[in-house]
Amino acid sequence: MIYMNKTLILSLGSRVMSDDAIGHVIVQNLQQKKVKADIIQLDTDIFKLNLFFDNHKRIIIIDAIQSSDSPGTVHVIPFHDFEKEIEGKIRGSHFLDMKEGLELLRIANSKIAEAEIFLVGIVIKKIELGTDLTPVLLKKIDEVCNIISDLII
Amino acid sequence: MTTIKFTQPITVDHIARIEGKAGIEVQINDKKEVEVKVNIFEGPRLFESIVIGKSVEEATAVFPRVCSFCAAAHKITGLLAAEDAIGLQVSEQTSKIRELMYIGDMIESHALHLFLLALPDFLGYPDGISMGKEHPSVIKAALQLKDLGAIIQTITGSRYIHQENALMGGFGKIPTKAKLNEIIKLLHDSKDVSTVALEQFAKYELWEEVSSERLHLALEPKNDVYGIIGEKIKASDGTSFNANEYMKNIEERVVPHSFAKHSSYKGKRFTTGALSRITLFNSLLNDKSKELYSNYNNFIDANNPLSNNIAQAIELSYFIDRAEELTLDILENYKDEQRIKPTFKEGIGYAVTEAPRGLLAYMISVNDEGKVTKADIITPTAMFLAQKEVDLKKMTESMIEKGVEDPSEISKKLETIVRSYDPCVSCSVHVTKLRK
Repeated sequence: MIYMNKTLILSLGSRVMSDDAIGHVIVQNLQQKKVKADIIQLDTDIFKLNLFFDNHKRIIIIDAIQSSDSPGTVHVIPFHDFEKEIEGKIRGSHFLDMKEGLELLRIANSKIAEAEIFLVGIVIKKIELGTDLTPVLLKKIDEVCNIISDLII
Repeated sequence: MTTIKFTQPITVDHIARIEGKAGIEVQINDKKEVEVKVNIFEGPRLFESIVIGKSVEEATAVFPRVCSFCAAAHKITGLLAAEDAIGLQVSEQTSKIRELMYIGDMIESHALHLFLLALPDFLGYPDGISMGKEHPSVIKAALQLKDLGAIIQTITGSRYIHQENALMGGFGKIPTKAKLNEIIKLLHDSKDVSTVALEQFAKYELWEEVSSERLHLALEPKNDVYGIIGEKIKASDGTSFNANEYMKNIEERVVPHSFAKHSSYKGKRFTTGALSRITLFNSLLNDKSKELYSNYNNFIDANNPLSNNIAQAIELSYFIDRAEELTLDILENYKDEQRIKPTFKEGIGYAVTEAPRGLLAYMISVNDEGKVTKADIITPTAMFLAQKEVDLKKMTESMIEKGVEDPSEISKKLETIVRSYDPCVSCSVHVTKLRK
């Protein structure tokens, strides 16, 4: 696969589990804004990153997170802080632990190991069957898009 | 390490490295009688209810959302049931491309389960990361095979998951010859790593304590080709039934401790999956896989759930060969054909296929406008849950008999047994009906 940009943006989440789809909604907005990055909606399998990675310098992962913070709170966490942040204050919401998946990808693919990785996590309110997002999350979309735009290189 | 005399239940709140959320609870009373429950607490998804009133074509796009591990399995089984309902026959090429897509799912799912979920237990690591740091070549093999499966699904189904290119009556777009040749190359490049998992698992002996007689159910392969598609379910007791009779033969019951139902056949619990397939139909493997089956026969005990890992590892090699054979066949007889657009009429359709974890059964009823009026799905995990609880009970009893008193030692073994089944919890819970 041939990509043109230095930044790869990925969204994780199930599209039919309400707030879990927040990452996909955000990347759709980023696509409409035509940001200078390659953008992929990954569903729930972080290992698929290996299929789309093409020597990008920076990887931005957008995901729903569960935390005691109020819904809509945004966390930007660089990879080197994953250990401290993800297993402590917040955790991913998917069956394949994202942190573990990324570690394994970094072992298998030295180019991924060289890339800078950021998680942009949005604290969600509910994970249940449905396609509607909690209103407080919808209000945050522009703010999250701006945060991500600043991370693009 | 804390030693207790089982005054409290042994509990695993969240079984690690399986798809979905499940736990184990073991109760041991004063007489050392053991009761084991696998608690499935993943919320019910009610997919069968969601599709009522929707067009059957839309329903076949919804079903794969049951699961991200085996989306292609749900997609193709749903399509087969939907087409059966309206009497639609697809072309030979469509059947072949569907089988190829399904094999992509099989390869990806087996690679993920064997290397990243099950193997760390046997190599003595708490997780994939720790294992990967010391065995990077194993992780590279895992990702190479997983990517292979994903790319096959992407090329045939247009997306790496929830493949929308697979439609009733055929494919939206037939994969190009160039893309099919890309698959051939990737398959060829993967042959070197196709037996890595098998070699790893075969370093470890099966736990005899968990071996006990069990009933296997598997789909009798169509045209004697080992694998996925068939019309009749065969049981290891010598009986069989047609796929369209699965609702009469496989009974489901709600159990209080689980959002997933338990299943039985002729009143007996049973198992399904790679071990069942290889137990009942090993004679249909290709020559290379037959040789593997023969060479590693000491590790295949039809009555031992840990042998499911070995059976999947042999299948991994087999399905890479079968995918190559199929792709070459599709290329040789390539037709740039259009899908047959469905004409709707009232009817009920059934389909049973072999998903990575075992039998996957669908029933779809449609009206003359092509709207779904009823749907039923039974997944492999819901089928083997009852047998799995028996295996866990047996292992616990054996360990107690041996004087093991450390709950963590028992729970570690129980988790390994659960993982050997390769359960897919998210799939299993969608079938639960809410009590009124």
